[in-house]
Formats: sequence, structure tokens, C-alpha cells
Amino acid sequence: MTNETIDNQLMFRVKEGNLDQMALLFDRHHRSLYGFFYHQTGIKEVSEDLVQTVFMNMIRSRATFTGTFKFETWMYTIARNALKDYFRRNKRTGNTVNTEELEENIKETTTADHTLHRKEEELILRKALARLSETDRELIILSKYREMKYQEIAEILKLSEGAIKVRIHRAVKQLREIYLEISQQTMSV
Amino acid sequence: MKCAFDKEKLWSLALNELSDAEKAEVNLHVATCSACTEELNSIMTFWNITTALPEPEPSAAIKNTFMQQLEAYKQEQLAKTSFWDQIKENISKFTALLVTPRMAYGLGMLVIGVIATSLYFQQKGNGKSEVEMLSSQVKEMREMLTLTLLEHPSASERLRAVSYVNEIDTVDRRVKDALLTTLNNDENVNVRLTALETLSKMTTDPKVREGLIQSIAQQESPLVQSALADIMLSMQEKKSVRSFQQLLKKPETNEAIKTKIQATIHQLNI
Repeated sequence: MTNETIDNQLMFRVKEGNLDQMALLFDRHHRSLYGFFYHQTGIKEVSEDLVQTVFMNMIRSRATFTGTFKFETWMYTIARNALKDYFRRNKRTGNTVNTEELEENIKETTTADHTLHRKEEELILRKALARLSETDRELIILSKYREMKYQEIAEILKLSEGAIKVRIHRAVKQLREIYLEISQQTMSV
Repeated sequence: MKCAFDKEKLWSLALNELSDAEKAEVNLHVATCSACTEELNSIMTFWNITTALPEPEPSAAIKNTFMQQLEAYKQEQLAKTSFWDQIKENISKFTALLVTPRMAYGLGMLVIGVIATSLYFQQKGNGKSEVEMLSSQVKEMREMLTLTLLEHPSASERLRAVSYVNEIDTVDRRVKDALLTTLNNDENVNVRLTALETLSKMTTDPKVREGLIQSIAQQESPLVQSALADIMLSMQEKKSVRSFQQLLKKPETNEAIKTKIQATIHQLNI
């Protein structure tokens, strides 16, 4: 049985009223969701709260699950709405990622010299991601870090697969531009 | 010299979007072009850096928090399942078994109608006698039931709806319109014939007469066409001649019916 089938069967059981099955879905997907939120907000507590919100929202709106698409597609549609709500409530636009906390987290975990270079790269990359627009950042996270196919992203964002490909190309190029710019600034300091 | 090779393909290679054949094509070009080799190296270096972004780990307490929230939600749901919720659930189960959404709407309107009528008469008080009030309510109920049942997917229910009309003394405009719609659009020929028979008793209403005339050209069933011809003849409705002539021109009209229509036209023109 594929992962998709297992997810869908579990969700159908939740839909029938067996709410405990959601705990199994939580085990299977909460890390992935947490990463999605953390890459977008940069705040641990907020990301954890958003994960809880998504799972509770899935329980509340279980009747709307039809199984037409993959469970993950449905889950990320709900996750995007939760994130939009969060940004709206906090009235943060443009640079929405908290890079200060990211920087702190990276410093805390940097202990050995040989890891310093990689940590610097990571920090620059996170800063570059933070400077992208919400849409571009989301596209990169879904395709690169959640390893979703363009078709799945197209279903979540309700766009064509072709449009997703064009946007991802544009977002990745933009990310490289910003990355190189920050790298140069860091080197010149 | 500047290379004219499509640089998007270098990105597509990095993003793993290409088929094996396309990959081979790009690699073949890159092997012979220093500018593209340089560009691809730069893209791949960057792309490898992006791969290194570590996955953040949530706290160990995240699952416990979720289980607590889930438990709280279950308790909340349990508390909500009170007496009234049970009743609501039973009603919804019952209506789901019996009715389509349109019927549910119709029945809902019927209940509202009955309540509104009783309230109206309660307030008026001195107007009509109790018997008149009751008869008015029954009429209203029958009309609503007719309108609702005319939408039912089952043909026998729609036939029942048409038969209800015969029990109403003064038929409402909405019911007449609904019957004309049934006559023109119902998929079942028996329902259409019964609707026609009922409408034939209302031909004193000019709108019904007009509706019946207009219906002639829309009918495809020989049975309904024949019945309409009989009705028009009994009404001596000369205005229907034109509609019958249209029917005659249609190649799909049954030959036996064409003969009958010609006879009807002849008699109407006398």
C-alpha cells in the first residue's frame, strides 16, 4: 500500500468519526509541516502553533475531505490558509521571516570550526529566502524542501503546472541573485 | 563569443525537470561550450548550497500538545451531542432518506407557509371564520406539496403531484406555471399527459390557453400531440392552427399524427 493510500484511508476514518486516527496522521506529517512553517516564519513557537492549528482545522473540516487529491495536497492547502491568517493577524508583509531568531539558532548550534563555513552558507541562504516574496519563498519550500511535484504544487496553488514551472524558475534565479548579493556584503565586512 | 543556447535548460537540468534525452542534449552542448559550462557550474554550486538547508526539528512536546487538543475537542463534541442534537440528527437522517435538496427546500417552505398563515389569521382574528382559515391553509399546503413533488426524481411522485391539483378549488398561478413547465419539460410521457389533462380543465384562464398553444410545437410525443389536438378542437382555439402547421413541417412528426393534425386544422378553419 502506498503512503498516499495509507494517508487517504486514515483521513477517511477520521471523516467517519474515528478522530483518534488523526494522531497517526500527525505522526506521519507534523515534521514536514513544521519545516514548512519554520522556513516561512523563522519562529519555533509560531511554527509549532501553526502545526497544531492545521491538524485541528483538518479535524473540524474533515467533512470536506473527498480524497480527490492526495491527503498531503489537502493538508498543505489548509496549511497555506493558516499561514496567511497568521501573517494577516500579525500584519507582516514583505520580509516575513524572523531572521534574528534564525541567526540565534544557528549560532547556538555552531560549535566546531569545520562547520562554520557551512553554517555561514546556511545563514546566508536563510536570509536570502527571507528576502524573497512570500509566494516565491513558498514555491521554493514546497518544491525543494518538501520535494513536491510541480503538479501537486499546481493543485495546492490552483494554477497550471506550466505556470508553476515558470514561477519556480523565476524564484530560484531571484534567490541566487539575493544569495550572491548577501555573500558579497558578508565578505566585504 | 556569446552562446545562443537556451540558458533556461541549464536551470531545468539543475532542477531535475528534464527527460533523459533532454539531459543528454544539454550535456552534449555543455561539453563543447565553455560559457555554458561556467554558467552550469555556477548554478550547480548554488543549488548544492540550497540542498544543505537542514530540516528543523519541532520540540518533543508537540505531540503531547496535539493529543491534549484532540482530547479537548472530543469532549467538546461529546457535550454538544445533547438531546436537541439527537433530534436534529434524526431529522436530517430522515429528510436525507426521503427528499432531495429541492424537496427539502419545498417542505421547509411549506412549514414556513403554514406557520405564517396561522400567525396571520391569529392576528386578524375577526376576518374569516375558522373553517375558512383551515380551508385556506389546506389549499396552501396542497399547492406547496404539488410544487415540491413536481420536482421529485420519481415519475410516480410527479404523477401524484399533478393529481393533487385536481383537489384544489382555485388553482394558484404558480401551480399553473409549474404544470405548464411539466407539460413542456417532463421526461415521462405519462406525467406530461396527466399534466395536460389537468390543464385542460383550466382553459378558462387565457394564460393557460396561451401556454397550451405554445406547447404544441414543443411536443415530440405523438400521444401528447394527439391529446393537444383534441383539446384545441374542443376549445375551438383558432390561434393554435399556426402551431399545428409548425408541427406538420417537422419531418420527425408521426405520419398518423400529421393526418390527425390536418383534420384538426381543417375543422378549426371551418
